This record gives sequence, C-alpha cells and structure tokens, in this order.
Amino acid sequence: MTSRWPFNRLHANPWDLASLAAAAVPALFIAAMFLTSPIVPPGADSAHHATFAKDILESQRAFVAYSQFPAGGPMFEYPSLFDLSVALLVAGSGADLLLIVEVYVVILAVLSPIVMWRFLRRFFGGGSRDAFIAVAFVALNWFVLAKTVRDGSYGELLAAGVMFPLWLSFIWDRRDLLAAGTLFAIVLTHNLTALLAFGTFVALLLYYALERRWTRIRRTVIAHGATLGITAIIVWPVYASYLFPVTSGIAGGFPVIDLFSYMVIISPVLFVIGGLGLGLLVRRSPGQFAGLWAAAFAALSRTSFASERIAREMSIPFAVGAAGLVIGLVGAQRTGRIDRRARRVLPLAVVVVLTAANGLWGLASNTDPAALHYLEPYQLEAYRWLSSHSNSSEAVLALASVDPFLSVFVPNDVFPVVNLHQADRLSKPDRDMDIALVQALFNYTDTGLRGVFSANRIHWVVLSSPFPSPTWIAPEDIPFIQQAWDLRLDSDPGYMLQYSVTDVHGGATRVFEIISSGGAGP
Amino acid sequence: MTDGAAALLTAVDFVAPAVVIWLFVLRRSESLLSSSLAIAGLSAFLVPSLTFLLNRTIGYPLDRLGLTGLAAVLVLGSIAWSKVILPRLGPLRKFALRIGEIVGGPTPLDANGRTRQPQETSTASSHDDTILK
Repeated sequence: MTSRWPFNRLHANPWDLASLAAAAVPALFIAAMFLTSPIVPPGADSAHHATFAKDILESQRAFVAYSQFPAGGPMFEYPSLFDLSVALLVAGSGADLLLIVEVYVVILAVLSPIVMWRFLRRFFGGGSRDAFIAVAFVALNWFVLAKTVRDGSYGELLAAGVMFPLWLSFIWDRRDLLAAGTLFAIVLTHNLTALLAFGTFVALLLYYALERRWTRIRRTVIAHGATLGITAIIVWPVYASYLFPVTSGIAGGFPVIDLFSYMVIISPVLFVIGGLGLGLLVRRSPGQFAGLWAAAFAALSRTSFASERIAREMSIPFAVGAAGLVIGLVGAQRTGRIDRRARRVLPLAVVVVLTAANGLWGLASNTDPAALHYLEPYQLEAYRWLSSHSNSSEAVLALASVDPFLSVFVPNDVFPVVNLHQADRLSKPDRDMDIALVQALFNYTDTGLRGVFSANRIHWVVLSSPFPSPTWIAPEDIPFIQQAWDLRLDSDPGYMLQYSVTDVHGGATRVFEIISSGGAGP
Repeated sequence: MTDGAAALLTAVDFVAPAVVIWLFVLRRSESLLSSSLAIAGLSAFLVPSLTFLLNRTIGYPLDRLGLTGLAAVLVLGSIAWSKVILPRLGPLRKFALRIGEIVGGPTPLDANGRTRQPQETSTASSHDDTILK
C-alpha cells in the first residue's frame, strides 16, 4: 500500500534546485531596489497602499475607502487583500508599517515565480529540466513584476504574481473548488487582475471546447459559478465595488495604446522570440491554451480599462512562449530531428542568450528607485513637525502629486488634491470636492471660497517644492505643483506660515495654518 | 513578547493553516515539492481571505489575538475534520458524489471515495509524481 505521506518521495534534483535559484532572481532585484531606496519604497502607489493599510488598522474594517477624500466621496469601499494582509502583519508583529510592506513585497516576489513554477511544471510536463527552462525564462522576463513593484502596485503583485498562476495550476490539476476559491481571492485582491482572470477563464473554456472536453467545461463553470455566486450573497459589496466604478464612470478611461507600443512594452526581443514560441506552442495541445491566453490579454488591452498595464501583463504568456521555443529546440536536439551541428546549437544559443540578457536588463532597468522616489528628508521633517504641533482632529490639505506620503506620517485626515485634468477620473462627489478645494487654494485671498475648508475641518495646508530631477512627475502635474508652490499664502491674514524647511539643494516644504476659514462651505 | 517572537508567530499564523489544510484536507498523493509549491501560494491569501470574510460578516477583530485565534481554529479544525469528522461522513459523501455526478458528470474520485490522479491531459500533475519518484 502506498503511503499517503509524501516525505518519503523527496529526491534532490539539481534541476529543481536550479529552478528555485532562478525563481529567486526577481526578488533579489526587488530587495536591492528597496535597500537602495531612501526613506520609503519607490512609487506613488506605495503611499496609497501604506495609507490603506493604516486606515484598515485604525478603522478595524477590512475594506478600503474608495473615495479620494476623507469626506465627500461615494459611500463605497473596495476590498484589497494586499492592504489587509499588511494590516494583519503589522497588527500581529507590531513592526513598522513601511518595513512590513517592503518585507512582504519581497516575500511575494519570491513566491510569485515559485507558484508560477507549479503551473509551468504541469503545463510543459517534460520533466525537471524543461520546468527549469520555463521558470528561468518567466522569472527573468517578468517585466510586469518589476515595473508594478517600482510603481507601488503591490496588489497586482499578490493577485497577478501569486494567485493567478496558483489558480491556473489548480485548474490544471482539476481541483475545481480550490481553483474557484483562488479566483474569489483574486477578486478580493485586485480589480485589473480579476478582469484578466475572467478573460483567461474564457480562453480556458475555448481551449476545452477545442479539445472537446465538455465535462471539464461543465465542471469548471459550475464550480466557479457556484463559488462566486455564494460569495456574492455573503459579501455583495465586493462585487458591487466592481460594478459601481463602471456604472458610475469612476473607472474612467485610459487611452488605448497603439499597436507598435506592444513591442516597446514587452521589449522587442521578448515580443519576437515569445511570439515565435507561441506560434510553435499553439500547434498542439496544451500549447493552444498559451495562445488563447495571450489572445485574451491582447483583446482586453484594446479596451479603455488600463491598456498599457494589460499589455505589460502580456509579458507572462510571451515568456511562456519563449520558454516553449527553447524547450522545443532542446527537444528537437534530443530526438535528433535537427541533424546538423550548427543548426542545432546556434538557434538555441541565440534564443537563450538574447532572452536571458534582455530579461536581466529589463529587471535591472525597472528596479531603479531613483526616478520614482517621492519623499525627501525635508518633507519628512515637516510632517513630523505637523504631527507634533497639530490636533489630530484637524485635517490637512496637500497636493497628492508632491506629498503622497503625508497621510502615512501624520495622524490627521489628509485631503490630497489633484489637478483638474486628473480630477476627471474621480467620482462626481470627489471631483466636485477637488474643484472646490483647488479653487479655494489658488484663490486664497477670496474668503468666500475658503468656506470649503471649515466645512471639512481643514486647518493646515502643506506645500512642497517640485521634486528635483530625476524624479518622474506626470507632465500635467508640473505646472500644477509649480503654481501651488508659488502661492504666498501668508501674504493673506487668513493664513500663517508656521513651519518651513529647506535643504541644501533648494527643495523645501512649508506648513501653513489656516487662521480664518471664512464663510460656510458648500 | 519580543519583536522577534511576535514576527515569528505572525509568520506561523499565515503559513501553518495552509500547511495543515493542504496536508490533511486537500492533498492528493502529490510529491512534497508539488505540495510545497501549492502551500507557498495558499499561505499568501488563505488567512487574509478568511479574516476578510469574518470581519465583514461578524466584525472579527484585525489584531494579534484575532490572527492567532483564526490560525489555531483553522489548524485544529483541519485536523479534526481529517481525523474525526470525515471518516464518519461516508454515507453523506456518497450522496454528495452522486449529486456531483448528476450535475457535473463523472466523478474524479475512485470507488473508495479517494481522489484519482488526473488522467485527462498528457501534461497533468501525474507527471510530477513520476519524475520525482
């Protein structure tokens, strides 16, 4: 009788160890990025996630407020499993929140290729050596992992990096309930990944249909439908948070990228080699799924949801395609189908060297924190002063683009205003609030407009100078930040400059107290 | 509790339920490597997902005790399910399998109610056991 206990079936295999080593490569780049990143993790989204986790801890509610402002936004909330996980880790360990964010992201970066490995072992199924080739190619060429982490889109790392390949591996195992449960976790974690998962789900059903596996279709659909239906009954707000932004227009629209951009985003080398590999894979089962998977991503990227980010995600099926090409070449060499030595070695060497070098370059160039570093030491000094000299019930007004980490470091409510172009992407209540706040700030001598401050208990204004080069700022934000910085609020008796700090390079932050708030708000 | 002990306990709270649930409740006869890869992924979302559901339905606390409490319940519950409850559910299990066959087609379980290895695709996980034996 065979033992159910698996430990007697563990045999060390050098290819498995090599796979583990390859899986660790992206995490090494990301850990290095955090270690070389001064003060806070790079990316403006990292500030959002830190704020969300802080809000979850303080409110003891597992949702994230959807609105831009503490008051005035729609009464709707979005589930974010990444932020909840950070909150739980902070609550459990008592460690610093930003430290937890960084450590957890590195752990996820390790887990991501490892979980992908589980799927790839099943997908290619050719043994440990083929699995190593696949893991190495995916780990090295996972640009999306590096880019999203540098942007601070950590929820995408958890959902697309860890749960998505786990979901695929469970589907490949025919563990329908586990797969459906994982899809629910994806829905809990990240909206864009949920969209991609549903696209991939359709691709999977098409693949099953091509294979005439009708029982698989029925079982997969029933398991996923039942799980999502039951969870919808229990936590309807989770699903409503997907419908609401679309029906109300909050989701906004992003420009659809032109066809040439795909090659730039995925990188020309991966685009060509991955495309060739996908062409090779789709000729037989189960490679057809990889082709349908890439096609589903391509189709979704032609919508206005987040064209460029979906195009980034296409690097994953393209890396799988590139791995398939190499595995195919190695297989052809092994079976003697390519008989001349030059024809056997050259293509393999060219493909391996090009994709590996391209992948390493991609990881390195996308993990440089300098361009997306959004907190300078003088800003932190000002935040600490504000924290110790203000009442926590007094709200603070700041520019989201130049002080994104303010809400992480002060206990006060923060109203982060955006420029009027970006305000178009907010909900109507948030947009109205943003316009009123920006008007009141830029017309600071008009006491009538200032009523919006008193209506929202805004007692402080924090303004910082534009970030120095090479920090990246959205082009439409540059004049907005400069105009705000040029304001001399203290020339009006309603404002008083309470704190100012300047560093040796001229970067500065000023903290104004609103002495007289004017009339009633809107 | 020291910071190091709290951090270790928190890590255990995330990972232990995934390990126990996989090994006692969910596992087919997979290799240790294959099981470990699944556990690695499950650890990332099992406890947070359940905490989320409990918090939204009964206001479950998001703190140190809540985290360890949930992990302990999951671990002990999984062992109890595997060793005590499941062996007594034979008739109910057969009934559920019959319903499953009616709505979902042939069962993936064998005549003894145990899970069969996937046979449908040439690249399915059965290969893992072959290459690691």
